[in-house]
Amino acid sequence: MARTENKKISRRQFFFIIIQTQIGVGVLSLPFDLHQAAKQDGWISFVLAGLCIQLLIVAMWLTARQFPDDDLISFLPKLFGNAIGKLLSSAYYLYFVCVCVLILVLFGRMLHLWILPNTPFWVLAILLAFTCLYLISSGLLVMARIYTFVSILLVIIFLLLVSALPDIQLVYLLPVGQTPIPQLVKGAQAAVLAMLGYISFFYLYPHTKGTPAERLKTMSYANLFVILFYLFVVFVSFTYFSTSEITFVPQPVLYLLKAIELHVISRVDLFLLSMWIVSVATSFSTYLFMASKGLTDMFHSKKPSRFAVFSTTLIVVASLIVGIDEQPIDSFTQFVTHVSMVFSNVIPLFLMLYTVSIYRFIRRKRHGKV
Amino acid sequence: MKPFKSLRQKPKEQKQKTERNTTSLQENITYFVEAFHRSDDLKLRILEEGRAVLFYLESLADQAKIQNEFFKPYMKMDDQEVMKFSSGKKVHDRKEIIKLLLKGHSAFAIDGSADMLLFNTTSAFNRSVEEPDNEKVVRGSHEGFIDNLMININLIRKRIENENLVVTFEKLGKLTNTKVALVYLDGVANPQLVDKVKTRLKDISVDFIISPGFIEEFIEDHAYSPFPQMINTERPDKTVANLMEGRVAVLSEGSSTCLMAPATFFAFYQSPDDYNSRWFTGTFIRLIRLFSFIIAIGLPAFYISIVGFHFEVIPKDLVIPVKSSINEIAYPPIIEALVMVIIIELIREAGIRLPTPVGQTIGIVGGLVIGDAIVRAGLVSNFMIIVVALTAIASFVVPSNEMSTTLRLLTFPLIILSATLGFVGIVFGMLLLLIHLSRMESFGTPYFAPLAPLHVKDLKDTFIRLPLFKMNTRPKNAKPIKGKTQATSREWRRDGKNRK
Repeated sequence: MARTENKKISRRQFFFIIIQTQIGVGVLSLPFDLHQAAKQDGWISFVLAGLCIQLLIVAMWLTARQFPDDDLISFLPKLFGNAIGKLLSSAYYLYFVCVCVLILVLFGRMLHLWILPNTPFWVLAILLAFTCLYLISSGLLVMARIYTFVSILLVIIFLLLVSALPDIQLVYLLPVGQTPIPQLVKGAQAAVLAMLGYISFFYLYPHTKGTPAERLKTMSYANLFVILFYLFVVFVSFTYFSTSEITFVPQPVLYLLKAIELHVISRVDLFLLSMWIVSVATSFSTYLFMASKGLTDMFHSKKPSRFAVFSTTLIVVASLIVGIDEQPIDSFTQFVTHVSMVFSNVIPLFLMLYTVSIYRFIRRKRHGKV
Repeated sequence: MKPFKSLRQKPKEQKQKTERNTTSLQENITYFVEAFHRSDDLKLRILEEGRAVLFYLESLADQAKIQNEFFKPYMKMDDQEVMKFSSGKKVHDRKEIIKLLLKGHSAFAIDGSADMLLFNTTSAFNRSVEEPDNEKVVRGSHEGFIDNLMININLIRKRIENENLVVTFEKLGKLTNTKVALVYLDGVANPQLVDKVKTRLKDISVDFIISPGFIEEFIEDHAYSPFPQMINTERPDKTVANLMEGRVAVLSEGSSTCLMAPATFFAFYQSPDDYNSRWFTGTFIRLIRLFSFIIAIGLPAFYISIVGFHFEVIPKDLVIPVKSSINEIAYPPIIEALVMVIIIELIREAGIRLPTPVGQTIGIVGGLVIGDAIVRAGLVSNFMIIVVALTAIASFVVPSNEMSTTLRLLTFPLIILSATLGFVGIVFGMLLLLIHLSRMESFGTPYFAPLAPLHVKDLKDTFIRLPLFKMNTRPKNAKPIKGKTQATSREWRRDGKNRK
């Protein structure tokens, strides 16, 4: 028991894993996606999405606290029995793989558009996937250390964006609240895609130190941090570009930094892009970690490296099949958005309802008999 | 040795708290052996079939003096007269005896008497103890270890006059039987760490051990990593400072290098000079050193990726000078960089073993003549010369020779990555490096601490150097069992203020 206690991550590390997982591939294009859906009121739908996620976090916490030592893959069979549990676990595995593939192709397309137009996609895919494989093979504790360390890059990204503040026009935010509700909801959907990663709560919860309430608090702070960080990015992009301009810039954050020239270096956007690669790598690693850990647990195997290598290879191959052309990526993004709605929102909510009502009842009954 | 054989095998008993000697010789000797934690250099010489004992610290006492001061007169006397030695000093206070023993005195005890006779047999070594060439400091101690194990332990014992300093000897090498000493401070060093080092040392099974480099390779955690995982030093003051932080030192006969574990990445960036200068200066120099790490590892890669991929990063006023300098060059930047880096390595390797005057000639021919001619010949651009020369200088800023070699080695993969993928390549190179550093552990201590995992408190002596009176806790790296190093030191200042 003492050994597992040592291997647990601290709450500070938990905080950084969550924010590094949530902030990822979406940060560059989020303002554009929000704007497409809800015009200048995109930030409202973003706040809405953030609040919904906070509710979801509470729901997940209510489920997770019933199983202090189990992560998602181990408590699903306990809830629903072996057959349905295994089925759900496999579905989750496929879901994580899909998210990994999505991250990989979005990453590939962004680099293809911005700095490496001639490099074949498979080089980038293999580079990212296997770097992350190296990372996750060192275990959760080392991952936590690295996530904490690279969070300094978020500060730098923040400072770079601050340098754009003198040029903003607050008037671009007006008029406020003119967007009809359905469009706001559509915007919220895009926002949830950028903030995906809170599902990792199920995996990290049993491996974190602290009382259940403390862990919920840390998770909420992490979510708050992510909301504020994204909100700042959205705010700067919305006020830097006018409502009509932003429809022409799919990566507003990069475009607005491109215009800034510091005395020592030009093209700050290239540096931002380099730091963004790290954020992508951390998100990708968490999903890869969840996928391969899930697979390992499903087979009750003692050799996690095999499953990690298998998952990585599967992801690389799948991403090569999807490719980085615009059309397949768009439809794949749509697909993952819909699937995420189910796996990251509906199922956790359902799990909560099931746990606090039926499962509790069943367990009490079982205990009563014994 | 028979009457006291039990001492070396019996498990530790409760230490007696009595200050005065008793009349029982057995009890007295047991007390002293326990007081020194059964340190192997506490030598017991049994006389009179076990009724009298002469004991001293082998590493501090001089054998010839013992012969002259004790044995010569002793041979002429009978038992009753012994205690009337004119040269000896009668002492019965145990604390006092320990103090004197630590100064190199030898003690003579006889059964039935609470008094012990203390002789001054402090060794004065004539062999010069010189400052090591590769670890010079501006201010502070100019002593260095030499090739004699006992003298080296003497140098350490002289600096830590404390009975808690424990020395244990091991014989390594099945054919050479090299004597290896393990030194640590009991009560500060983590017992688990000491055990770990001991077990790993005992596990070495080879025919010969020549230098600590052999030992290091046998006991380190990650043999396939380019990074050094034990601190290497020839300076007694550095060794002492590390012992005080709870590290364990390994010295071996016939070598002037001391190995210390556990090491962290940042330990290689510290030098005793940091503590001898004012703390502002110390902090500044330390920041410069860490900055040099980034230059040494990333500057050529950064330059290559700018020239090869991201020309637009250069500010517009600099574009023309850079472009005109590299326009005439026939080769791509990666070839330029590799050629220059290899030339610098050649000059360094050629100069290292030559006598100083010849070495300087090589430096001038290599540095000035080749550097100038190679630009005029159009093989390498001006900017590349600047970049590579800066990189080389930066890599020599590191106080540790091993780390500096590692850095120069790591430049190559980064150059190749940046030449193929530009900034993306650098990011992935750095990320892999970071993962590697964070994964590593040296004897149970995370190698990249206090950055990953983050220990905010330990940053005070890593990136910066706070004033010494602010460093009240030991760094967590070596997991010392005693955390606090000092109480508040500058109390007089607060008192002064209150009086006003």
